[in-house]
Amino acid sequence: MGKLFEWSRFFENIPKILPYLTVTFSIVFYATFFGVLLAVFIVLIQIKKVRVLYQISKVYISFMRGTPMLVQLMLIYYGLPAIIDPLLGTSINRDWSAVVFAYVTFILNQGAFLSVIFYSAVTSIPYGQTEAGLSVGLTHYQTFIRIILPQMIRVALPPFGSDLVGLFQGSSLVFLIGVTDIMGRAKTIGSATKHVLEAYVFDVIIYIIISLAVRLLFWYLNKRLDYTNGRKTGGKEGIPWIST
Amino acid sequence: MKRKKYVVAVSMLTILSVAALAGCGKKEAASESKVKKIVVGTGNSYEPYCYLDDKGNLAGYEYEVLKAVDDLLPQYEFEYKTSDFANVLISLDAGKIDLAAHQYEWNKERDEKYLFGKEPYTTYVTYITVAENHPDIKSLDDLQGKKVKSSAGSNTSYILETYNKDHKDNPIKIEYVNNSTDEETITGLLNGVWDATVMTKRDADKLNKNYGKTALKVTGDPVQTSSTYFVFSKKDTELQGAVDGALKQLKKDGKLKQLSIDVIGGDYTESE
Amino acid sequence: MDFNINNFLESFIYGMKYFPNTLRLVFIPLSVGLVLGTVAALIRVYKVPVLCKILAIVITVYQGVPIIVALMIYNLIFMMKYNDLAAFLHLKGTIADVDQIWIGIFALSLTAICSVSEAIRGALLSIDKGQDEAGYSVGLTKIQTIYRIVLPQMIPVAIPMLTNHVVGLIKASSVVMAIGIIEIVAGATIPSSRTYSFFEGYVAAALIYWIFTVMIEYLAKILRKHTGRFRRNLYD
Repeated sequence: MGKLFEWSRFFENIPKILPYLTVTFSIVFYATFFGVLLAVFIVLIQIKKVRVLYQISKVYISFMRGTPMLVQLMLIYYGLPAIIDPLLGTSINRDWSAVVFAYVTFILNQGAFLSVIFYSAVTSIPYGQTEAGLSVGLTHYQTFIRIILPQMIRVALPPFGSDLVGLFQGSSLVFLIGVTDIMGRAKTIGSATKHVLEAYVFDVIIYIIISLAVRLLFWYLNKRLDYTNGRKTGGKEGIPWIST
Repeated sequence: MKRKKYVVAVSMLTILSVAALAGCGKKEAASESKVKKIVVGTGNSYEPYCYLDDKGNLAGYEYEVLKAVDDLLPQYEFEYKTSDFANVLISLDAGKIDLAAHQYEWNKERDEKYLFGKEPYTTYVTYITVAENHPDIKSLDDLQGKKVKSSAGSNTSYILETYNKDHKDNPIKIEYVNNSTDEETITGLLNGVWDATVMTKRDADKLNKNYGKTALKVTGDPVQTSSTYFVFSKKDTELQGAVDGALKQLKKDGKLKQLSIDVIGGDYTESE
Repeated sequence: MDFNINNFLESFIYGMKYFPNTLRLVFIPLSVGLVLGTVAALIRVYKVPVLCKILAIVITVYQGVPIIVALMIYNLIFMMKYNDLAAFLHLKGTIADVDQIWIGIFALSLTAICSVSEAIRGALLSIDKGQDEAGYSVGLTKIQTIYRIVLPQMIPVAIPMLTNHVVGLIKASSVVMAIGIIEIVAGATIPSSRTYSFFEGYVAAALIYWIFTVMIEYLAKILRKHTGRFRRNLYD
């Protein structure tokens, strides 16, 4: 048996894999951008307890959280056209390329996940804060924007960052419906050259770099938003992106 | 009610953006009305039949044959969609593709659900394949109680499951490993994770060659002697007829044989 | 595409048959994660010298690795090196006797430690520093303060995020099918490989997962209500 890992193969793979990073990024971009909008919408429904929509949102979140991404991808990819096409007379089954189904799946998924993070952040602020705001004559809206939201964002930031890191990793499943991203490319290199480990290792390095970059970004945001007198983590700052 | 407006605005924005997304996915509408677009579904990790080359483009025997078929059929224009093996036939089922190409062997259960082409384009003779140091295995009977690697939706699974139906007392332990790489296959067989798998002799040779050493061998009589066909959806008899006709033509002028020699490395169009 | 109810039911039964495998793949890693993850979180929040830095780096880097790739790599290494290791440790038996599920449990445990520690760390950080000072001012030791003041307040905050991670773990357990371990998804699609009704198989798998996670979330909700009963929060 040949050598399992060879650096020459590792370096050969780099130019083959890198262009596919754009696929990964586009999925993450769509999923985050539209996912945040969807999540805000859901949280509003939940806090205002809008009838019917509230129940629907509960079921929706529970389904999105409760089933594996892999299964959701399959259900959207094969199931969505079966529902929408006869209903609207469209033919997304054939007109949409696989990557569009991937976008839709990840947006729907992220919307649910982010809504849980946002909701949990809102409710982590004691109601006394709202009472305090109201008592000094702020409106409900002002209280939310000036008092609750800034604190909420700070609470939501760390899980939001983790979620984003997870999203990058989760995007690797799109390969299964025929979208080639960096993971998919690694696998196809594996089948074309018979050596997959080098490609996987390169992917691991990319994912680690991305996750560190995301963390650095969130550490920076977190620092910028740190105007509370909350739990300080000591005087000296450690390695920046590994904020303790 | 300010808040209500806000909710409405956000929901509108969401709907709009989803609609915009839908727009992105749309390809330009069919400009030529006479040429019918046929979507071909194939795999992306079965070298040398269907895989992605250095630049990430579809390559392999299936693709070459279909390209030749397409050239002979002016009324159709083929477009290719790749996904992993298990998803190709589901895509056919779901109407996402019109033609499935992934070295499909005929079997009864597949035949009940799909329409098989009548012209085979490759022979497919599968053997039990074991590591060199496994001399005791010669037939399916020797595999009773042993672990055999297979993948979901494959003909091998079908054969093994059919065998197990008649041998409920001591069935073959089928291990479904999807999307496994050749590295996993060879390492697992060599180290005894699996006792055997089922593949064609040319695939076994390919694995050995790529690892520079004889590690695997095919053993015993063929598990199944079969050919591979393109698969269509039940209603597409017209397409099936056209593709069969083109395949016949390719066989007659020796082009299919040439493709097999060029891409697979031997003539596997008639017999082995 | 027609939905075949019989194939769906067969898939559902097959999926349920392998449900215990998923349970093992979730609860063993979760237990490991809860113990080691809490320890890791406390070490980091209370800045135990050296250790907190090492943990911060390891956890941060490891969280960047997708479980599927990690699993593939462990699996390859395990397949190649287990026999040598067993011989070295004078263990009887070879790799053929080892249930591969343990590779999955190993990979998921590492993931669980990281995610649980992050959830608990987040919750610990949400508790006002004044609480520590209050504990100190009434003469409690650091350990007593953590145990009696910080942890009880932290738990209701941590539960939603922990639930997130538990559910995440349940779903992540499905990736082990990639190395041939049969859990719910792989189980539910076993009949599909014969009847080519994969869609029904996936729907069956989705349903099993959904029922399972709804139960988990329900339990978490009760737990949160119970542990957070002294917190005033009108949103709940």
